[in-house]
Amino acid sequence: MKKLLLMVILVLSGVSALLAQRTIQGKITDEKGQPVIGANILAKGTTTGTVTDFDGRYTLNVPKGVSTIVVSYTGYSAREMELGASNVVDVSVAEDARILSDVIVTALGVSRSEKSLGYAAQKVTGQSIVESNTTNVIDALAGKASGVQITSSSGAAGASSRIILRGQTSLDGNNQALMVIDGLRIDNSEFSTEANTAGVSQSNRAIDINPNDIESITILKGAAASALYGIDGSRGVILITTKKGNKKGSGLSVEYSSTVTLTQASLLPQLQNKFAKGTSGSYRGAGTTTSTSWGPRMDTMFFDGIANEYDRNGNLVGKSNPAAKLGSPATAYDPYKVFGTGVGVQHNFAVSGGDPSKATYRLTFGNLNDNGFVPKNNFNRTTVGIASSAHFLDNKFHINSTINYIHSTSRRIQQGSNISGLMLGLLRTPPSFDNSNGITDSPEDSTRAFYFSNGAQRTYRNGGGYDNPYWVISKTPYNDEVNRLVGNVDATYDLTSWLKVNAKVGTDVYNDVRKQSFEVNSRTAPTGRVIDDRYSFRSIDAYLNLLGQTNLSSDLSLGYNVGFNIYQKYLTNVAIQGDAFAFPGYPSLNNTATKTVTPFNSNSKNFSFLGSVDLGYKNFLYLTLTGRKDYVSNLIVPEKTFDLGKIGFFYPSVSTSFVFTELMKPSSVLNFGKLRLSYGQVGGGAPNPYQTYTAFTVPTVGDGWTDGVLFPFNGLTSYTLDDTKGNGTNLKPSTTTDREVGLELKLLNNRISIDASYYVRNSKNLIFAVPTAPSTGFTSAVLNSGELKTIGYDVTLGITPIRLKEFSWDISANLTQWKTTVEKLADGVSTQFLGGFSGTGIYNIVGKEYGQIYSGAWQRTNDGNRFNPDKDYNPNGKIVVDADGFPLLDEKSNRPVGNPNPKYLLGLTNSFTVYGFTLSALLDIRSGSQMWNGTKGALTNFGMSRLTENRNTEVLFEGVKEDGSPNTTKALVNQAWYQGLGSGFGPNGEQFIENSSSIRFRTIGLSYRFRPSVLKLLHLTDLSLSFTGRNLWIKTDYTGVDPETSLVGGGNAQGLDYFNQPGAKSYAFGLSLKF
Amino acid sequence: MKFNKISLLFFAILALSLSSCKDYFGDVNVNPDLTTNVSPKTLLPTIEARIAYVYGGDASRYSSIMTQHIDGNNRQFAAYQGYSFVPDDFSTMWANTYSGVLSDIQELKRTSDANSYNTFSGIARALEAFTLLMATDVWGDIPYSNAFKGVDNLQPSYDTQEQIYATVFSLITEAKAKLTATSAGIVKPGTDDVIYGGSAPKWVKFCNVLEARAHLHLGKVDAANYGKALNSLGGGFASSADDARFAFVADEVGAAPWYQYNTQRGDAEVGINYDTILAQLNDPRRPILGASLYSDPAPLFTIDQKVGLLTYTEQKFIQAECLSKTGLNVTTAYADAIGASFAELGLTAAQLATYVAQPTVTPASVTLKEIMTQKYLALYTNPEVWTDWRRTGFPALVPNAGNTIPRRFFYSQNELDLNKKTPTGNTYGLYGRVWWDK
Repeated sequence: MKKLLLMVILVLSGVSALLAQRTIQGKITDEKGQPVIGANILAKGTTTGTVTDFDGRYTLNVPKGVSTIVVSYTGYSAREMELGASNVVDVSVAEDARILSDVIVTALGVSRSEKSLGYAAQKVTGQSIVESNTTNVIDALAGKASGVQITSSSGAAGASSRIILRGQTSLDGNNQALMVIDGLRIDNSEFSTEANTAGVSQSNRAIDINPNDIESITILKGAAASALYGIDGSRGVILITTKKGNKKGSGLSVEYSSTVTLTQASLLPQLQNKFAKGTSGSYRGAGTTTSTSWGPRMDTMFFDGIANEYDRNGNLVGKSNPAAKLGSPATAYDPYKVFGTGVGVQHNFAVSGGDPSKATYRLTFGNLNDNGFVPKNNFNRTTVGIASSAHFLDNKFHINSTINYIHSTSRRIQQGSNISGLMLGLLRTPPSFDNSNGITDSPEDSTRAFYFSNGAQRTYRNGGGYDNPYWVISKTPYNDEVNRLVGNVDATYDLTSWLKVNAKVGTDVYNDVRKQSFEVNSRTAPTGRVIDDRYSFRSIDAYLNLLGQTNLSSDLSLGYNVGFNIYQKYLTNVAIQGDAFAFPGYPSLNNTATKTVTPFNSNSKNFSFLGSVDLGYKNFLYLTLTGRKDYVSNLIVPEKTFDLGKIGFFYPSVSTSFVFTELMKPSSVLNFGKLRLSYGQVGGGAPNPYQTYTAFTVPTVGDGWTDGVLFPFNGLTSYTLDDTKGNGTNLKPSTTTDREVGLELKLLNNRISIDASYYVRNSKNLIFAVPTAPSTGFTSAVLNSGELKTIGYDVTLGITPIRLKEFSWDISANLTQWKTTVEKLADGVSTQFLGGFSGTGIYNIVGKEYGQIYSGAWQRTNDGNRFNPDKDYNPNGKIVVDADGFPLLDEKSNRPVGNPNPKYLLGLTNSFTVYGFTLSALLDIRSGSQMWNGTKGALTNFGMSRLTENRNTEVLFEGVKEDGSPNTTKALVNQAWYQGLGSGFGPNGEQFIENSSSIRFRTIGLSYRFRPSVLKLLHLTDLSLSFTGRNLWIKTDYTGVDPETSLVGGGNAQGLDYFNQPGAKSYAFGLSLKF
Repeated sequence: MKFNKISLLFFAILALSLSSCKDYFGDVNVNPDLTTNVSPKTLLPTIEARIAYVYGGDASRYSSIMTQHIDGNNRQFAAYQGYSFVPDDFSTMWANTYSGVLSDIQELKRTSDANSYNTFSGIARALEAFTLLMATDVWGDIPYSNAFKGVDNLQPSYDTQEQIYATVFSLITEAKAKLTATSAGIVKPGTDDVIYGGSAPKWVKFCNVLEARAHLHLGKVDAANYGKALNSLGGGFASSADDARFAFVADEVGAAPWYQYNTQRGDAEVGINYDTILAQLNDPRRPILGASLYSDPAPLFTIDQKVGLLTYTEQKFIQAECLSKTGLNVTTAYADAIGASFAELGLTAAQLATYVAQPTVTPASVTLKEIMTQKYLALYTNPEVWTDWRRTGFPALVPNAGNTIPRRFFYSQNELDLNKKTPTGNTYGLYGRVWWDK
């Protein structure tokens, strides 16, 4: 960045008068009088320069003919000083909000002046990422930028996070932002080993990035910003710039930081603890297989005091039982003691040095051991990296290279809709059963907690039902290991002052080896199961660009870029499932009776031409035109003659920036004002590979009632024509067209800054498997059909109410609002299943916002105060109640009953700096979203949700009677009700839709940076201590786990909670030093 | 100078990349794990298994509700017992028939015909005729001549049932011609033909019996069909050894459809009416057929049940009915038919003799009523029985609900939604009659 700034200065500088060489000395200080360390001092019009030392002092030999020196420092206004008679020049530099974000990394890694951008691009600094103290870099962005929505799948160590920029542009494909590091694409996939509603909480692969290696992140939100990514651009782009070697000076600098993080479960579902296991009010002993807690009140029961395998306090008996007198009153066991405090430790070293004018280097080592609040859940990441740069051939040839090796491992816990899921067995356990069997010290390591002496699993249903949570932790482990290499080489040759050639090659290679096992007697696989799931991924992203800039006249500047790109991705996966162990305790494929192998491939190659032109007029009017033509292998029809014309698509953009304050008199009220206008077209991704032809697949012959017949059948291998593609061959990529206007203002001496955008995006020709009439021979056809439309706005606001020498207060706010509407699916198709369950699922529904919750609902009035079967369903009508006071069920099993999309997101950061102390709090607000609390629904059936504490009482359901009059009849809510229509297993999912809006302190941080005087004594250049709390306070009406969790991880079916793993809160203590 | 050289290199690389872009892409968009080219030997097992799974599964269960062979007693089948069907109930059967069986048969015909694998070509047509007949008998008008075209025709038109029957007969004729011609190459059916182990002569017999079944269905359209059916049967099965049966296996992932239904769902039981008739006739088959859904393991619906598509027993009943309809002596054919059923179930000759000696079974003059009643008993849960009942009205059945028993299946919901050419209206509802149902 600095180099570019220098170059610009060089190019733009005029001719200087001839003067003899002389030596200038001086001191550079900031507004507060503090020495500025590492400021650049340059003899104007030359490459001769130096930097200030620890005391802010410099010495510069100014060549002949130079009459001015230029002082610059990141975030400060550059100052030009005319050299007078004195050889001592002390300069005071001032912070400048305008300069602070002056240069920004844009598409393809090109740095550009922010002023000239005609589209929204928001920068998040690496420091702010690190301060968030998240393992996953995606999580660190929450609340830090507008137009961004982050959803963490759970609080488990290693859990994935989903990132959406400005709404959805694909119906059922990838909607998450493209990830780019140093100008080259990297993979951010999240692969599921089992069904995405079950299995373990997986990682998205961006988790491999060490946040400490990040210099800054630029978020390209709209199509004009990402247009140079063409077919890959519709999801928006996260551009990560990694830290490099010395930017100034030539010394060796060593950085070390360490963090200890304590993690605990945040919100937990509300359970009842008053009623014991049983049914119809009568107790069912621990030795029965009864699943429910519809038994007697705990406070009427007594332990008989005779220890047994079911309970160390003895059996439960009623008061009248003589044994009751020998024991003690029954007490409810606490299910949540399974959750502990996970201790995570992180170390980061970096050594950097070199001379920016010759060669620099930065070596990094990072190690993270993250332990979750569920015992044995962990995620470990080790990163080793080198970033280097060198300049040759009279400083005309520049090479930069970054190579990172990442080794990550994890051990994860079964969750979700899964009888081996941790929360499922845990929450269904009646308060009268102790899963830990009274063992307080690591019950997950004690077989007495989860084995009966006869070898059966110790569960509250006498060996049946669901896995004991300690069994889940101990006996159904999932382990994975990822080895990854991400590297790039970037070489530039300056052909002339106005033209250079740049070649850039990056690769991302990894292996992900996973092993999930279920010990014999696991409920999911009673005979034992092991799944060996292996992924091998490799991508190459290579550019060759001719670029440069020149001034056409004193008023008109021109920048240009023509280039060529090759992008290739290869993914191979083999999953082998072995079932039925020969003997327990040996989870190996060798030990299984049957093996099922599922191979999978996904390969693609693209090449593209791209170009851009930037015109600037008098520093106030800018125009950028870009174009990219992509040729993509995914559109090749193997059965047809190769036709280049049919696989190539062009994506243009035009954006303008008008800095209107340049035309106005300088004002201390309005310091800066800019209007942006842009139009861009990008691809919503080409279809996945292999969609353009119909092949044969291995069949399952079934009928929906039964499991059916699998092939090979009786030793016969056989194939069936894939009935999902429809022989469609004329596919083209979907297109997202974006129109955006924006306004940037800086007011009151840059104390207030505002950046607002309004946009309309249309995604057309979306590709999906459109259901077809089976008489076509196919049940679906891959077609260009659906349409999505997003309207939204982003606002970023920065305020500095107080800026004193030793006290400052900064406020920043990021407001995100969008609404993506499903405009069209296909002819005769009004709904599309995205994920979830048959009773309650997430669907795209024509005319509604993306990804609605669809389920059965109560009958509602739609004709005045009555229900009329001939009229349309009215979701806002009153509930219609029968003569006994119970709500009636609507006739249709599918109604849109909830909307998981927040109406708006607001991240509000306040930070206070006093004498080296910084207190910073990020308040994150998500408003107007809903979630299906399927956990509560299921627990209601089992008599375990707190809702059922009112059992056998009379409740008035607010609504109207069938004659339209208000309901006054109270209904007796009992076991029959809660296991019937009032159950989450019943047809009505609507009653478990809850408001999932939340307000939370995403982070609260306190840090102290030692003063230079102290640092000098310690021989350090920097030393700080910090505390960071995450999610320490959450306010929500949602009655389950943190509503930010997601059952399906980063998938499109958001808004589902079915025994989700809880979210996390954490306390982190950090130390960071530099010398 | 330097600039020129380097820019020359730049554009040379560009030009090079462009000229070889076809090579650059290569086969990258071909999935290495999925083939577009399969041998008939690897298509046939799925086709046969799917036909057997539909014929012995959905087609059998739904038609057996109509014929009262079974009574639905739980969940969805409790609703079906009162004929509360909705179009979506038939979606899976329809999809299995069209995007499953018939779609794969088109592929089998294409690849077999192209290589002159005549035996495969013949088997493909025989199975296609069988499937179309099954489909048209329950749905009436169905798509065929414009079907299976994928995105090239997303709204296939419907052929009338009369057209479908013509198609069935011509497919059978073609099948017989292919099966008697010499087959080229070394690709010949063997164990991949689960039904007949690749025996072309047996498939010819299958074609003849199928032809007779089709003619029989059209008896009310034109009585000459009874004679045609008898004619076809001249080349029919010689014994039960020629039965067209698909043998499922004693393996949970290769288990027979009724076994899977009973063990995984179990929402139906033996029809009380059916059981009553067996009891009234002192039928020794009752412990097997009448107990088929009560006992565990069920004697008939075993895990490795050999699902009959076309049997010698049915052939003898077709013969008896046609003889009766054409005024010829039915006594021997009738006794043979019952005998075939007893033999199938492993009953003794003595049990057979005692049974048929009863005047309730063999009155002085055997009429259509006795023939159809015995066929009703013998072909337990066979979809053919519903067709027989619709044609003849025997045995007389009292509807489970309402005044009438359904005479048609609904078209599938997704076909109704997505193919605007799908006929609608009462004629095409549960109680509308198909063309031959006069």
